[in-house]
Amino acid sequence: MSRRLLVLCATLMAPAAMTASASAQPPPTQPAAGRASISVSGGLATKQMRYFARRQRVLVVGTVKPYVDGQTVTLNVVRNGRTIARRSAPVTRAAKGSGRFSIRFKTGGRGFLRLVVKHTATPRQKAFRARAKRIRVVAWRAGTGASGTRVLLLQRTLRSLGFATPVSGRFEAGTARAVTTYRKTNRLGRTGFASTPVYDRVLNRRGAFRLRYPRAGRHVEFDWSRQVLVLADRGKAWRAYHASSGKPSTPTVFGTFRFYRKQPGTNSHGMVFSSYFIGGYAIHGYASVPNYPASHGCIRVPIPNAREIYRRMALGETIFVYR
Amino acid sequence: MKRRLVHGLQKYLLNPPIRLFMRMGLTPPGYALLETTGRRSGKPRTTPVGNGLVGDTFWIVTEHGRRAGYVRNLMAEPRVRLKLRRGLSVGWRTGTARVLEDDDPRERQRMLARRHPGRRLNAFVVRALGTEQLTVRIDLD
Repeated sequence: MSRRLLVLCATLMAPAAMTASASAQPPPTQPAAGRASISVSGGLATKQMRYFARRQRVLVVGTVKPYVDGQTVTLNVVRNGRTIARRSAPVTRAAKGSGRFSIRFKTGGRGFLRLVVKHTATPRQKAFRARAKRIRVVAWRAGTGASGTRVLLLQRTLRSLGFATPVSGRFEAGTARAVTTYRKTNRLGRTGFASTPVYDRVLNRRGAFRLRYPRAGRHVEFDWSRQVLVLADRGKAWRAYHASSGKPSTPTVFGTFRFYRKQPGTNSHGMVFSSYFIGGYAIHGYASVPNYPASHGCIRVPIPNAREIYRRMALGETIFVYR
Repeated sequence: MKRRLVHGLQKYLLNPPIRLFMRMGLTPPGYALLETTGRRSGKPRTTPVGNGLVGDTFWIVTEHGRRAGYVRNLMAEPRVRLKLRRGLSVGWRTGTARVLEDDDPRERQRMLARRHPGRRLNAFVVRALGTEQLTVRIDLD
């Protein structure tokens, strides 16, 4: 009851305050018309829809034409016809007589959201609203055999974050290996299943491999503790691969080495496309690449990835093997 | 067939003048002279090869694999001599040759050709005229 009274008081007083401030300025002419458009950023997008994780930050940026001093716009987040959040922001001056605004909010649970930006009429600018945008908040998960938008977006994002994956829209062994690498990189359980926590990170475009030697130019890194092999260039992980190094009885050597010999094809030990870096230690494809250190000291990679890794590394290139 | 053609061309037309130049002490850039011991005659045999000197190691990527005479020679007697350019002067260096069975010759060429346009040309010729590439490493004394 008291809240309703307060609202009543506020609505009664608001026009009075406005007229007071308006009368202080020179008498207004006609209020200006207004047009606005918005764009949404964050999340992952196809041409039709933009997808967000739950409780993810959304940034809504827009322009208003013409710019009128001292105006504000309000963002209404609508779900199933009900406004679930309301945020206001001032319009600031931008180029060519237009104004800009930016509003942030956090998504809640899953579902479709409609983002409506409105301006209520003031003595100096008429009411207007921007064409609404729809976004979708998702709690996806995907495993081998899945397909569709969720898989395509997962693959695209993993690729752009520097993980070796096909981009096909179908969740196959190659994608599962990329997810395993992603999970290992982020110290999640070592499986190939893209669970909701995986998707939450991916939708935020997080979880890329951070290089230990970003200034080393084009090089290779092997992170022993995470069992991830990374081909790096220009301070960034270019491709990260699932790998398995030496088991405890035959550990992998640590240090900085250079590739000194490369052997194409398969040799008598079943090593595929081997690149040696010190003694008999090499990076090579192998039939079995489990999610724990299993080799006799070499760094094993899956055979489907062996050739592209081999082709990418030059003799004399540096490899850092570290804990 | 290709091998015979290229082999004849090189043995009788291209190699003799280059060998002559090098004997005289003029080294065409990008070349070195390899001296092996004849596997039957025991006499010294010289063959011009592309310069593949990296530090104290000399690399050869052959055009015809194991069929080249000098490769057979050095497999029989791995002690070889190389006439190399050192700045402006030319000198002989001795070394021990070894055939690397499971090396990737293409990658080896790439390594040698890095920052050496002349070597890149040589590598291309070897690939274009050659039939089977093989890596030979000579560790210089």
